[in-house]
Amino acid sequence: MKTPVTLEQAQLRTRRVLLIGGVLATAWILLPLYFLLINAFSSPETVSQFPKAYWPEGNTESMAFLLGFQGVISALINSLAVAAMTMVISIFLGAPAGYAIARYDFPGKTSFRMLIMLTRAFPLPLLALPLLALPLAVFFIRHGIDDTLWGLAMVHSMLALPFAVLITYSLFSGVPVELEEAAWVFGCNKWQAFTRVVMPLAAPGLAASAVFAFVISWNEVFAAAVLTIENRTLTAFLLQSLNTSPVYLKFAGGALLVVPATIFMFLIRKHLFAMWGISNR
Amino acid sequence: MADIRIANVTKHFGAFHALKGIDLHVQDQEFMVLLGASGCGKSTLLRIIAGLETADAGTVHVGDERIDHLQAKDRRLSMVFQNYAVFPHLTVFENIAFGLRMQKRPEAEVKKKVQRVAELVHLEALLERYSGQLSGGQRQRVALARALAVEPRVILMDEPLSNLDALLRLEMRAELKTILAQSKTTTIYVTHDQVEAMSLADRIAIMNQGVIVQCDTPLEIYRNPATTFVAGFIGNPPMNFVPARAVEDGVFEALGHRLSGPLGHAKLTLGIRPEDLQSANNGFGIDVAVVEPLGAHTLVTAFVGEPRQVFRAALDSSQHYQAGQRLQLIPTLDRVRWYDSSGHLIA
Amino acid sequence: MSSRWLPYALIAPVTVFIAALFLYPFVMVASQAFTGSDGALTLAHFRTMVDHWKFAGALKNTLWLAAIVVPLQLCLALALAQMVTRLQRGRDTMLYIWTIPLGISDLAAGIIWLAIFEQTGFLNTLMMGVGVVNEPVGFLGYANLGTTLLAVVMAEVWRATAIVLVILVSGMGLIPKEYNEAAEVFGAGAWTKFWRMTLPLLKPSLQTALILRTILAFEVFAVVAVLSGTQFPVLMGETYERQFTLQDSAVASAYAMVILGISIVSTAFFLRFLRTPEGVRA
Repeated sequence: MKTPVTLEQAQLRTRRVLLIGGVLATAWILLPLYFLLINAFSSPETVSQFPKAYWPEGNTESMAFLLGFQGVISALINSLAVAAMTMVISIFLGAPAGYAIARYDFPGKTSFRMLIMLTRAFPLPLLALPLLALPLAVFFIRHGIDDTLWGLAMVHSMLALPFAVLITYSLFSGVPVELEEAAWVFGCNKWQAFTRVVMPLAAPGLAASAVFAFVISWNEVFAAAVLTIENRTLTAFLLQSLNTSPVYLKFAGGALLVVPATIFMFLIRKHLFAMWGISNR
Repeated sequence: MADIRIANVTKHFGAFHALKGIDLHVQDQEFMVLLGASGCGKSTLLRIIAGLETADAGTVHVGDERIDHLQAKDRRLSMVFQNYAVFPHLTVFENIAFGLRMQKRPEAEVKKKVQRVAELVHLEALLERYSGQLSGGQRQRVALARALAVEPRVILMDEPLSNLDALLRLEMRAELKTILAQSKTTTIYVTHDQVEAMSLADRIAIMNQGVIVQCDTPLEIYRNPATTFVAGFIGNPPMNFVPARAVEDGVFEALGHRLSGPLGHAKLTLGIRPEDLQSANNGFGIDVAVVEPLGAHTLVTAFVGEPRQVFRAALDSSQHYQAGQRLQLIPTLDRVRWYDSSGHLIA
Repeated sequence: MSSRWLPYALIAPVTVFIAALFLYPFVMVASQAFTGSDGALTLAHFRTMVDHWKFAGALKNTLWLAAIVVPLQLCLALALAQMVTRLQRGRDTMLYIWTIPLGISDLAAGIIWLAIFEQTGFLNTLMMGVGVVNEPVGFLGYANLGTTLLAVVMAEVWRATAIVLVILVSGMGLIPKEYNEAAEVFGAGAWTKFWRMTLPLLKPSLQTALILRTILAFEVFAVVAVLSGTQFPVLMGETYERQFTLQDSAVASAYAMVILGISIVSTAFFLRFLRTPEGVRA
């Protein structure tokens, strides 16, 4: 019988695999992003050149040209506006629902919660969103309200809502009801108790939920492309100008899409991990 | 030969010193119990033997073979986990057969051994069930059967009874003792329950804060606890301790009573168990604070000395006692134990 | 007190919103696909769709793409999830980095991989730099459908593996470590532990991840648009074409119904194939 691998050898092997695997996987994720940034921060001439350099020129001409390009600034503003509206709508609709599920036992609670859970497990909104955009487009067109920012914001809110409800549900569940009850005993009404006791504790999570809704809206492509013509968002603009725009525009635009979203996601990563159920081991 | 020799095993978890140089020799086919409160290191020691943790220093031998450098899967030991760890996606049969199948035994042999062990633990009717369909007690028996099926040289058990309700625990304890005696396997059993330890063990190793404080037969530990810690841990209600002063060399006074003790000490702690005290005309003087008639005996509690310490006596239940009463209690002399200022047994 | 009505008042806005903006339009799009210009039930739109030369290609491409990408991502995500579970220091950093793509729009992901695969891009630069080729290779474009597919696959794998990863890591976190420990004590090696312990116990998460990822794969859109223009038709792309460019809502709805249809089929498949049998409970 051959000598078995010792504990130490096995541990060494694991450590080596983890190191190599970890480095490879990290490079795999980060390198493409880096390439985008190289292109985005090179002059428009460099971007079309071959071969490419392996580090950025540090030239902001492309970005400047992007922002000066016809329609980009308004597209940017539109994206911001839609994302902000999505953020507001999804929090104002989702948080009360999350609170209700966390605090109250009412008939229909289980089925309501199941519905929300289902939309996360079998993401009907995700599935339907592309499909949604169509009838909504028709619906909006028929009622003369297509190509509006708030119309798009509503569609995006549909996408962000399940997450908003779920995050706020777990958030409010984490605030012991005894704290609110104590506030009631000491003279606060429900609203005051909520704003003075629950809100401060839940605020970071609520903010994270809002930021996530923002990012979802900011990144969304299909509905934005279908539903906006005059009031295009950044994603719609970039998609529809793919064939006609100069090369540097694509990459500068891509960077403009990526950088804010990545920064926001970094800021709220702990809350995202909590939402996805990835605990610290 | 499956004796286990643990030499100088040390383990740190960060800054926490979990095991401080453990030396232990478990005889072949002995039932050794590691007893201690949570955090004393007993489970850590067990896991190091199993290979689920690595010691920072020290060696572990089973028979002639050194095993501490082997991975857990190569050590050929069996283990029963505290939460049973019965695989939920496999049937009872497949669970019990698991170790045998890992050894690549022929299927006919596997079937035979699983059947035999299932009968031993009375599970033969449930072999096709899944663990989700079993009660806690049944799952525990599956875990035991799985450990026995491979006919191991050593079985490790990590508080296997602690998740059962009190009555079931009592039944399983007796069954466990019978089954394990039959299987003639060296066993290391971890528990915090001293009654379990006393009832099951050939020898008990009492652990406290990463050290083995005493390793002896149950009766020996009970009669001659090596430290005040051990004396207070074993036995319920625990041993009484009172300070004693030497009035002359070899003669001590405590609670108004004089008795002979070891020579050459001015101050010692006297230890006497509640059941080794009888009511008499003169002895230790106490003022009864609480009387608890427990049926088999009456437990009398008093508070003595400066600083106040509890002093209990288990007295004859046919006598009547009441709170506030002044009692004289004499000890059974050969059960009196003397401890020095660091808590170690002198005599 | 209004407290009996309060919970209903709190969930009312959301419910109304979902009903108005999800259920109702959903019904609308279904009816639009099946209703002719005269208002009668008809399959004419479907016929138009199927007869169009691009339909077969779009359907084929979408299905093939999903069939390649989903299993690839599953294996990759499993490997990454295993690594995450074993990591001690640096686990959180790794996990954050590997989930960065979740915050990146699929349009941006397409652009990123365009930077790599375009003729003047980084892949060619690298390949020429190490001497594998003497002049830049054309990866994209109608003459190179094979490599275009490769580019799309790589972009999709890069972008969307994180979705599967997150679900799997969460699922693995729910598996008590005693099971793997017991398996190891009784002789199981690393591969056996993974194959016979982790994977079966991960079934619910696998099911969720596969359902989700497959549906999303059927909806691939912007990545393909960026990398292939109209050379590599996919169902979502055709839906967009119909609705936006050709202003033909009815046929676009028919396309949407097709996507819905294959999504339902795949979901039903995974529900059946990966269900936990009666009596087993993790």
